[in-house]
Amino acid sequence: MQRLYFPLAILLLLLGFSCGTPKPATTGTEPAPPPPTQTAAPVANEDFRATAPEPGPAPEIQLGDFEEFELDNGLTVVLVENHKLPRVSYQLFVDVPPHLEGAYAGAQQLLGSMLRRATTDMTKEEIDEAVDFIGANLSTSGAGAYASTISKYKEEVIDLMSKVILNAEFPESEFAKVKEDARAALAQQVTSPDAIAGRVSQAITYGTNHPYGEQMTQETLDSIDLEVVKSVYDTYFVPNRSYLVMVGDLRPEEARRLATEHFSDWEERDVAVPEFPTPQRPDGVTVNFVSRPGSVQSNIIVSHPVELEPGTKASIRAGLVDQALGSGFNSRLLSNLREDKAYTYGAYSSISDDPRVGSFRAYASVRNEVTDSAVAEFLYELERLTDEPVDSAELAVAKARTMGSFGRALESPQRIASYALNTVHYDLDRDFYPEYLQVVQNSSLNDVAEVANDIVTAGNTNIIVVGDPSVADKLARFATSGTVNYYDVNGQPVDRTETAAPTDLTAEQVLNGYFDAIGGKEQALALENVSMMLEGSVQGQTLSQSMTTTSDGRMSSQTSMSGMVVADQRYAAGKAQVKQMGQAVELPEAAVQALAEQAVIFPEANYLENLSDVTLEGTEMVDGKQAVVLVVNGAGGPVREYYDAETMLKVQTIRSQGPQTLTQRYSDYQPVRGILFPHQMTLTGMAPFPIELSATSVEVNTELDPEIFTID
Amino acid sequence: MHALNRWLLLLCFLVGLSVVAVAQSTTIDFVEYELDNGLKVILHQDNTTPIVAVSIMYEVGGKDSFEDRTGFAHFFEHLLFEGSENLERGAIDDYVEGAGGALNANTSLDRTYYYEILPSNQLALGLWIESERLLHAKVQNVGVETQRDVVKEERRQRYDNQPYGTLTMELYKRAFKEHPYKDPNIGYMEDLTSAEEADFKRFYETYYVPNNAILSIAGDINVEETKELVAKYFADIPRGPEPPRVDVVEPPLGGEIRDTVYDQVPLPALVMGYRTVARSNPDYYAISMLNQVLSQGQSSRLNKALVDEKELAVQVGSFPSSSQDPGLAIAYALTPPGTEDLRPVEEAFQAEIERLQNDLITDREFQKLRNQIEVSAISGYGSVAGIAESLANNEMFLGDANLINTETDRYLAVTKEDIRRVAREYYTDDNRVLLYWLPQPSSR
Repeated sequence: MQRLYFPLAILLLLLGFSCGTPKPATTGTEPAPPPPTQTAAPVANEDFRATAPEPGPAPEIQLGDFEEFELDNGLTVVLVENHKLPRVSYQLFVDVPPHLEGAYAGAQQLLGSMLRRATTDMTKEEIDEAVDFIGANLSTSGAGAYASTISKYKEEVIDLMSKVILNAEFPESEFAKVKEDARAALAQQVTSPDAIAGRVSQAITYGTNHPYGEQMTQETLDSIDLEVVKSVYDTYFVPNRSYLVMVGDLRPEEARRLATEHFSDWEERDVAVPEFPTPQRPDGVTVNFVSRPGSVQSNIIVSHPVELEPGTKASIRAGLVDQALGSGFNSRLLSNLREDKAYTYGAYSSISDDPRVGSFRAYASVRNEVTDSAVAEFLYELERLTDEPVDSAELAVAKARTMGSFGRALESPQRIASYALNTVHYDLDRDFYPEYLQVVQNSSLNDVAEVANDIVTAGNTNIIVVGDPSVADKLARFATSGTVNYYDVNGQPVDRTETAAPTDLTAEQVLNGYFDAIGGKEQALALENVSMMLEGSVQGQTLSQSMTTTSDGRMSSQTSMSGMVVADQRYAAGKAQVKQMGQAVELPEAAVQALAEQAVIFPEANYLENLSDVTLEGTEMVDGKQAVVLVVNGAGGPVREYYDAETMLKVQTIRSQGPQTLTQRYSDYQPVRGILFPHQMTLTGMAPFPIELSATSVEVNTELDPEIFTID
Repeated sequence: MHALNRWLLLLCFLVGLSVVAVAQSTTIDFVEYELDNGLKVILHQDNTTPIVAVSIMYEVGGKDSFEDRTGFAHFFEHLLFEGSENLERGAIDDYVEGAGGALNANTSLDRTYYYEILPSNQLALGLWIESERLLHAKVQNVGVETQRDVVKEERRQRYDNQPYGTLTMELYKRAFKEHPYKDPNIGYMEDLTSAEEADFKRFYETYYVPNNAILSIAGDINVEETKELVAKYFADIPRGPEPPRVDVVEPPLGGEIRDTVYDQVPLPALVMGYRTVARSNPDYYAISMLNQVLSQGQSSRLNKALVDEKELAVQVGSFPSSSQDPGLAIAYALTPPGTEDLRPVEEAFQAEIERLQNDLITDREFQKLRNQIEVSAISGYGSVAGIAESLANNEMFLGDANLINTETDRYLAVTKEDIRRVAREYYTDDNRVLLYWLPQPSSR
């Protein structure tokens, strides 16, 4: 079989239709002139500079209060007044109890996207226009809605918000779009190393049989239909489990009126709250790897579940542990992994409280070479927290940072509102936040060590790494089991044998299988020459190519656009020639080599003769079918050939040409004199769009005009 | 140059006052003065919350790097956390965090910005640290070597290992051939590797002088006391020579540049950069509003046409350039997975541009823009740190800190005809770089 090869010349040409190829940038920066020598002017009164100034008396941090009331239907309303700026925000938090979505994982999220897309009397277009026209903001999620506006539109905006929640409509046409968007967003997520690490660490920390560990996948997304989404809405969107948080330029009586007018009609309903076994830490240390070939960094997360109730002293002290371990610039993780070792731009920890189950995490992105060293430092720091507990200097900084962060929060009504919501939602003591800083202040070294020992367990944790597969093996030593577990981007275990090279096949067998599939090696190699005519369309113009190859190592190819020959390439007797628009192009040695590799009818014949250059790499899916992959290390660089695992016909070739990766797909095999040739080809990576070519004729053993091989 | 700025400043103050008198939105009061050594000082008092933002902005950024030292300004920003004559390595973080403060810095192509947000009783601490940084910062070799690797990791984490992470780099390196905007703000890896100690000394002495900086303080302060503290810590720092400025004027693009970029991304994208104007150019306002018409909110034209109606894209965005020298206004469209042909989305985008060039926007759209501008003016007053930065930015790049109060009027002066005019003038094919951003064909 014949490989079609569009040399670089064509590539440049195709791109050249619409643009000048950008020239390499030249440096034109005016170098800054060296500054005149600056005499170190004597600075008077130096003494005061030598030491830090004394602070004034500490300001009092006074947390603002909030109003709380309940509507008859059970909706809890919270008001945080702040009249500094003429603006208002509304958050509707629907406390959907965590539940397993199973085959429909992601349904609640899709509901969130559907909510803003129609009401009984408005289309999405009308909602968008109404919101944008007044410069407001209205977004919805699987847990409610958020809206903000300047004060003068506060009525309009709460009205819109209540309508999208209470009068929601679910048109099929919008659902199709929502699903399409979700599909794109998910595809996007599973290429982002941060997002992959987040998904997989949740799945491993909580388990995929816990609501916190469940992940939406392309499969679950496919199975969600509109009825599923509607039932999430009907089951869980009820006022008696919801909170309306109003913040900003509003008076209590006004807030009460707005809430009552717009949310009283919402009907109360009981919601079942499922229970789940609490996820546990692993017995030892597990090492879990997600392969992302080509990554230049490894995303490391060390994570395990913790039992930490919100609103407790333990949760406040856990915050202090987190500060000392991995929050500030001089916290232990940052000092070690960034300021001392320079493995990373940043290494942090986080501890989250939650009435069901919380989590401990420590994480960083590090360059590939130091992945195992960085994991070792993480484990070292987690262990050290027990061996060398947070000391008094560290604790003082942790306390100061916590108090400082509280002080800065006063400026943000949204932060105050989140404290208020936590207070009512978790049913905390009304004084919990006002007295928070006292608990911080009174926490002793012992208190903090106790919480640290409980939460940070270096011997019982999960290490999750997303990165290039080459870094995985070195991580096995951290695992109690001595082995690395592999996962896919959805947190599902991957059986590595599936992608490993099939043990019962050799490269030679694959190549012979291929010849058998196209009609027999002997018959194929008996062909003296093959001439193909191909046709396709590029930017509205007809592209045609004639391509002739011979069994004695010659080739000739002419490419025409709309009848004009734009490229002519030949190889014969060790010489190569390429002309573009009639002009000869100077060829680097690599290009000559590449052309020589094309001057053959079936490259597989050469592969069989040089089996030491051919490796069977494994299997991979091509167009939904399993294909066996051979890597051929030729003079023109590595080429990957893909053969259908069942039929053994060649389905794809991938080769690199400079910075470009060119992919050729073959299909529509039809016999010509008993040998199968592909009659349909798709080339990607050559132009900004795929080029589809169909064979209009394939002829073998014809009388060739010797002129077509003439080299000037 | 300085004299001219000052004169403009006065004029704007007068204009500003008259407008503020009729506008009902909140006004940010501030005092502004200059020390003898050229340091500009801006103070805004707001005693609502017991915190203070102390910030200093230097007029040096990515574009001011020396030859073969791209990314130097940002690298240098990292080094200026290392310490000074009186601050040991790591002490800056210790002092600020130990006082319950937050601190950080960032570097754009045009300026470098350092700040501390402190409990208001620690104002002097912020001033002390910033004066140390300006007067006699100390960079040791261990710091250089550490930060060199840290910055390289920053580059990998934020650009190289992120889908679409190199988008602006790929646009700017094609759109500029002379002006240093052609180089990435974070720097090329090889330049980060070769930066040496002499470079740092030269850079510090050239740009870290009081006459190249604005000290902007906002929050729970007393103006008179603060003036005294500022004088104590900064007045005797010697003025430096005037720093050199980039005066390269990039010639017109001279024809569309089209190219393809392959990346580890699932969604093919259409990415465009139009060469536009400097932030201080009066056309900035019309271009900014044109971008609002295109992509602000779900009812905007690109969202409506490309995402909702034609379903050619799943996400669109556009924004003006706001750099000191003329930069690129960027627009992009991410297409659904599996999209093989980007031409339809390009045509649909082009149709929206042509509509802006041929017809005036509607009265309702125009009113919508003006309503949105009113809202964004108010939301800019949310935090003292944000206010300190806005004041410094306005002073440094527009020569008028008071634009925090008055710039809205410049937007409101833009007409529908202005928007059509800038669409015609800047959004032409000849003036753009257009990239097809494609998924790297899987090669294992």
